[in-house]
Amino acid sequence: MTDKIHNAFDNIKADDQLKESTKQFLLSKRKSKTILANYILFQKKFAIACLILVFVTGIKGYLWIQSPVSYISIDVNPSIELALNCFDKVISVTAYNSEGEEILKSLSLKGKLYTTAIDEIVESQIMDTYITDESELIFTIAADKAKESSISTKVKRCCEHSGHNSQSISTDTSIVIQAHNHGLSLGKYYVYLQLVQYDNTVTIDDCRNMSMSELHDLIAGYEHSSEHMHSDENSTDNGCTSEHEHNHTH
Amino acid sequence: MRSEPDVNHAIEKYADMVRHVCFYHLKNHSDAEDVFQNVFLKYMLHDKPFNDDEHEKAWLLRVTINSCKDYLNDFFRRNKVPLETLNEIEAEIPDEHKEVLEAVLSLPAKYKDVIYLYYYEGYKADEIGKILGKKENTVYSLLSRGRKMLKEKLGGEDIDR
Repeated sequence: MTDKIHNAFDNIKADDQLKESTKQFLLSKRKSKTILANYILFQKKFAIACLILVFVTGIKGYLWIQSPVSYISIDVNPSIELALNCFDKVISVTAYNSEGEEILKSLSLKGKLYTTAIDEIVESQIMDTYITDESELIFTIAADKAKESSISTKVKRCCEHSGHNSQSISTDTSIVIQAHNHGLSLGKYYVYLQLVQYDNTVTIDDCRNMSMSELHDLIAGYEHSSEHMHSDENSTDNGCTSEHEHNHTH
Repeated sequence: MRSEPDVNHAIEKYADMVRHVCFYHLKNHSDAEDVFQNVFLKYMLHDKPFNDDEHEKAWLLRVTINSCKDYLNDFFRRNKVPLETLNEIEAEIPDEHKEVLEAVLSLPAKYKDVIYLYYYEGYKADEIGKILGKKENTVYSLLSRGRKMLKEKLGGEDIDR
């Protein structure tokens, strides 16, 4: 009987047509699987490329936002410098002497608009002790042409609002790196360049330890004696990159 | 995915075996062709290597049996009017074998598998248990009952191996 079952099933065969149609079916499935696999691979590659693009764009955007494009130096005796990004927000604050460091200890200025930062610095209690009738509050601005005008106008408004004996000066950004290399704020380095025109024995260290009013007094003294000696030469090229100055003395 | 020559070799080697299982489970040639193709599609997509030929054969048997059961469990197919599988290939089968095949086809599905695997493929009860996912004792019970049913259908002829 076992043989009968065996022999009976031996009659059931997978015919050539079934085998051939199965091979064709599998071939078509193989092709579509390959196409699908390629499509999935393409999608994965595309997704990775998009992620890289988003990542790179994000990094570049972050670096762009964190790149300083303008500088405002605030000098009395305390020397503080604000670096601003393209949105006029403060991205770094640097104190160039111990007095400046003392003021910055109590302030958090990063991420704020420069007008707010200036107000907070000028109105701080510690700064108040340095701003007297004799002292001078000097704002030195270094920005590109597009920004310079609006920053200068707004800083002037801050000067007027503060009610102190203040002055704003605009210069270009090329002297910023030189100032930093010498360890001076933009404002003090600008004044040093003016001073050295009259007295080339003056050193950067001399300027670092003097207040802005003292430096301006020195310049005024040199200008006064120069007027006497060269009464016909009433204009002096100071050799630095100053473009214009605005005085707001109250 | 297995290579085309590998798959074609498997088709040539196991086509009859897969066809047998499809034959005694399914109701017509068209259904059998569907399952037949799907079994080899699963084989093509099965990336894991087999230990040896016996492992490969047992895998194909298990996949074929499960595919047939899944196919029959489909709601629409379950409610289809069954066609006489045997009638479709009646002309090809000599009369002497027709009675045996009819007796096997008339068994409930769970007996058909053990009868086929035991009597045609020559597997032992423990091996059948592994293929079907059943205990060895269950296989013995199914074999015993299936054998008894076949004996009755075939007019008392003993079918012991």
